Amino acid sequence: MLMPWTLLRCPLAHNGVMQPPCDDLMQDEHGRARRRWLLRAASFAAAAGWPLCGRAETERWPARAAAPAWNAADLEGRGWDSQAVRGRAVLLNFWASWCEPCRSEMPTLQQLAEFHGVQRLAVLAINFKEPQASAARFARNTALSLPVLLDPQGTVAKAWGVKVFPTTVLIDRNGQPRWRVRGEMDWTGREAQALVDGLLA
Amino acid sequence: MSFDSRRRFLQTGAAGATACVLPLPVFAQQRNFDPQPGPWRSFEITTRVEVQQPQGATRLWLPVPSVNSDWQQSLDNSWSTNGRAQLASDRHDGARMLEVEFAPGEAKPQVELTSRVRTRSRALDAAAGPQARLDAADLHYWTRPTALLPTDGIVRQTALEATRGAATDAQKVRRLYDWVVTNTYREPKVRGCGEGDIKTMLETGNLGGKCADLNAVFVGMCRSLGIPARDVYGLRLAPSAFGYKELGGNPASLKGAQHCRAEVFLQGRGWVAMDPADVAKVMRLETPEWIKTTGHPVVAPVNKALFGGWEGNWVAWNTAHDVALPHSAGPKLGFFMYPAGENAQGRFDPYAPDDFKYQITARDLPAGT
Repeated sequence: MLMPWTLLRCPLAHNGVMQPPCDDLMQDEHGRARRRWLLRAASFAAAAGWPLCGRAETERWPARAAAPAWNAADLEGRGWDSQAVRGRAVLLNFWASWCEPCRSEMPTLQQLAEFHGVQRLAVLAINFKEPQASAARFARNTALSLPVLLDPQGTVAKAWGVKVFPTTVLIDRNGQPRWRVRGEMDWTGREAQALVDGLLA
Repeated sequence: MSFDSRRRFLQTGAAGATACVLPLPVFAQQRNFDPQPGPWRSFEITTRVEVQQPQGATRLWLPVPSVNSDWQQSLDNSWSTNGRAQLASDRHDGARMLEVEFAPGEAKPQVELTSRVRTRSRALDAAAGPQARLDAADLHYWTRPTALLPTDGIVRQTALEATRGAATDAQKVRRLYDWVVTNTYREPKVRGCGEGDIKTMLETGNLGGKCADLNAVFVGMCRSLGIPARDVYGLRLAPSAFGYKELGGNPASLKGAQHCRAEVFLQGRGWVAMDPADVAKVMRLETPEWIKTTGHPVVAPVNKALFGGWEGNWVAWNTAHDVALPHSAGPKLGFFMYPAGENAQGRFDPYAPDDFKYQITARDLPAGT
């Protein structure tokens, strides 16, 4: 029985975002035509700067789409919104303590923030729908020094269209979102560096 | 080598001057997993909850066995607490629970709940349910989407692909069962988790570990094709009688032993047991190596038996979705399988019980109890 590997591993088009294939397992009678199509799709994606399947999926923010309005309080009760970080590049990282890939990438986010400094880059860790105590405990146990914002009803995540955790939205100094990264990323790695440098340019 | 040919070999071999001992690794690994409905087994399940640092008034909700069928009889419940407790129920799906309310001044809110239940194993051949058909209302109810089980988009797409060429519902269910078992080996496309909805699971390709509820994916895909299916949320109670360590619980500590199974409704058979998630679990965790084929001797008996059956070392709490906890200020639960609690600051986290400590234990009761 033929299993639809490519559909399940790398759907070609989903939510309007084309994703190049991880590998080529098509063996059915339509395989050859499909492979040609996949190759074209892959070269298109490569030209667009999208990486092949891996740990995170990076997608360009549509150029004409404005940033959604948002606001949230941090663990100390201070309010944050787009005005609070005006003039700086921003990473909005959506996470939850039950999400293992979120926990896993958090130290690299912290390192990224420390490397660039708060004057240039604001990295905000927006906790999804957990009680304050849970988010605070996680921050305490991991010595997390990034601002931790609370999204108890999930309204901020919803406004940004976030359903997968972690998701990080990269916003330039003019407040224009430029990239959405779904899934765990090494924020000290080269791909991340390229993305962040683009924000600071 | 079959049992008969081995015997013949040994008989002829013994006639020789020296006997060779041949290792027979396949035979040695041969495992047996064949739950059959037999006598009822009685359990007493005790849940103890303590709220560590109460802030203001606290409310708790504890699941109690709510399923009664030819494989489970939910008996009585008793409790003791320094709060005020009553049995309550989710209005839509009949999920029963103990609801406990603690006054703001209570320094150490706690409750101990004891539930008695009788269970039996299930098997496919035995499943000739009295109810061979579902009426239109039930058909609609058991194929409906829920908050965590959307049945459109990638769910339906995936189900259609997986069942292409299958004609009958039974054949389609078989394909979907095989799909769930096989697809937990994929490296996730995206290293991320959803909130528990199956659409996000399928989109990220993350079908392993805590991010995924594989039986929910199975149920959702069945429903997307119009096949009535439901999750059955419950708790493992005891080790497996067949020696599979991954298919049992330690009765002295069951707080992490929650497990969701599934059922599908097949015409002429009624509700049939399904648990592809446990097949995947055996493949991944039963031996030190991650077994990739269902033909492997450790996996094959489990793969066969969990299509249509399961072992009676597990209690079903309920089959509820989108559960509104009575008198709660918070949102509905996608499902109700863990103790739940809240105070003015919000819901407690059932997955990381630090300020919300609970333990669950079980013991076999003598036959006839």
